[in-house]
Amino acid sequence: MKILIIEDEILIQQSLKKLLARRGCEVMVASSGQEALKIIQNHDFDRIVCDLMLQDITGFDIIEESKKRYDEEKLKKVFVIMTAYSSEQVLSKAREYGCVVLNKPFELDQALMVITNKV
Amino acid sequence: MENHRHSRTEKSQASLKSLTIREEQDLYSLDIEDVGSFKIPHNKTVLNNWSHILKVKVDDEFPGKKLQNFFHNNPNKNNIEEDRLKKELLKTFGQINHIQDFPTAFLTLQVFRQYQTCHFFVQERGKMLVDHLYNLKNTEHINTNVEATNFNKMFNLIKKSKNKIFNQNLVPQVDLKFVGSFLANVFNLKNHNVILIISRHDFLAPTTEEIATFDRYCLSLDIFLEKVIGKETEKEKKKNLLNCLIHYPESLALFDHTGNLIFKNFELAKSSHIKKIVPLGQYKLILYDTETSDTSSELFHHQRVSLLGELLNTLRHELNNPLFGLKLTSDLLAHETQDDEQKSILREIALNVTRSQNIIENFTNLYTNAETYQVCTIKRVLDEALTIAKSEIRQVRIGQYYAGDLSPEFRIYTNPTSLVQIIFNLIINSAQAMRVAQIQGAQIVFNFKKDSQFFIIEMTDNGPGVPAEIQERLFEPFFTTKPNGTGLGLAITTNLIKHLKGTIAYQQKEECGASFLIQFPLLTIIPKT
Repeated sequence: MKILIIEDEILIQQSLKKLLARRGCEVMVASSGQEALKIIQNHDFDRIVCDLMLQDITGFDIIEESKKRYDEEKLKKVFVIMTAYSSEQVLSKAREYGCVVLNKPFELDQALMVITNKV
Repeated sequence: MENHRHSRTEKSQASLKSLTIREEQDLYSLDIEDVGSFKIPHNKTVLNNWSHILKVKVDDEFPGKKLQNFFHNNPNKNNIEEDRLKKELLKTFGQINHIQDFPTAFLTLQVFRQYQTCHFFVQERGKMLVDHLYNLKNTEHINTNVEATNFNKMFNLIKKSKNKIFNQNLVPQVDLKFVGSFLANVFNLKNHNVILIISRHDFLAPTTEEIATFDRYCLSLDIFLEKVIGKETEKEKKKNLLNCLIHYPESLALFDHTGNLIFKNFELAKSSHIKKIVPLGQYKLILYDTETSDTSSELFHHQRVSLLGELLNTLRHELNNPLFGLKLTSDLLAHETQDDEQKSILREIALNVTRSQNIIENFTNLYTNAETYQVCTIKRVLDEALTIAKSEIRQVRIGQYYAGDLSPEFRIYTNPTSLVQIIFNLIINSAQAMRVAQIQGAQIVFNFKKDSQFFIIEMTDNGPGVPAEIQERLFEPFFTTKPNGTGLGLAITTNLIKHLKGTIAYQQKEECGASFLIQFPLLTIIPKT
């Protein structure tokens, strides 16, 4: 399983990377939205785990950009949005895109389940 | 008293530039002419007072100036005698600052040494009551009032009198406190009418010579009366002006030409918006927006607390992610390591991170007005509070007592977040006080009670207690005795209790430390079903 983790908080990013790598996943990481977009242009992923509030752009911006590469059905399966501010606004937008929301703070097991089982 | 008066005169002579008004009497030194140019900003009832005072302009011919020319005016053949008289008057009345001292001073004049009593009646024109100042040589000083009608009657009779000889039949309604005939004179001052009466306390009619002497003295006396009465009126006006400034319904501040604050009628808050600047001679009067500034400390407090709320929210946003990263990493590492010691250290890190998260969460919850009432047990509330306070109460024994049919499972209808916060704050407060005082065997005891009206939580510790002199200020925001305290703990607690329609009080108990009594109306309590 090929996974991209987009997260600017290095400890979270590296923890998730380590966690998933131990489960046999091929993991790539990006620390900013722009970096992520470049990676997405050149790689196909089974899962993109993306923090909602990045320094430069939002996770939703990344989903919009990714429409060029993934069709609507695939998009729903690929994206997992992580956020600490799960307001109703955020949740309804996430529902529009059909992607799963992972609320921060989460437990490792919970993250693992959401990311790997979402097939 | 004498010194006080003296210093006030000196102040009025001091340069206005260097004046800083700190107390009421300092404003008396303000030049009233500067105030005369002030335009009234609004058409409010309170402002009627303003216009009355502010329209008043002080005459350019202020008696003080006249006094300088006292000896040089009106040259006539009796100059030497006249000058002697004036010198005597200047010596006797020149230093007087209060009209009350006039009767006594008058009786010290050499030519009137035979006279026993002296009366001054001073009427501000248009006033219904007249000041009556009376002195019986060396014994009595009396200040009373007489009615304006009697005064006027007396005034006119004296003014029109040809022979200048009077007796008690003049105005029977006024108690003149002496017998026999007397000398009298009237003075027409700028805003006042004054009657002067002196008596020898006998029935012998004054001689023509005596009448003439009296008249000569009276001729030059008006200038002193005007000076003192005028000054007093001015002081009165300034006092009224100050009252207006103080009680003006909007926030205002007065600055001098160098921008120094002279006077303000409110607590100057940072976010006060200037509404209007009124030039006032060499002063500047600034009106502030009442919506952003207020005299009440509560609003001031509210501003600071909401600022704190914003700050905490930012903190939460900024800290949540790194804390979560720490938690995740330590969890992961603890999961992976085989070394038991490392495992336990990593678990401890994770635990501390959770605690930090909880603290931030709890503090930010304080400032969100989540009015979510729900049914919960006393146990749940207490446990939650004790959990958050865990680090602070390691050495503290916690006791719980339930009166009557109450038990830990008793269900109350409340805002659990607020109630937990209230109890948490009180526990922290006690625990810190006991730690600072190095109390051995520290304990906090909760007594849960209820009566027909209230659900009562009594929390008592065996700490040092609160000294009597600061008990009153205990719940004031920003009042603290701790070197690093914010002074917000109990203020926030009080606020939360208020939100739950409850009350909190400090109780002094002989045998133990501090004790707080919190009461919530029982209406919000749903008994166990």
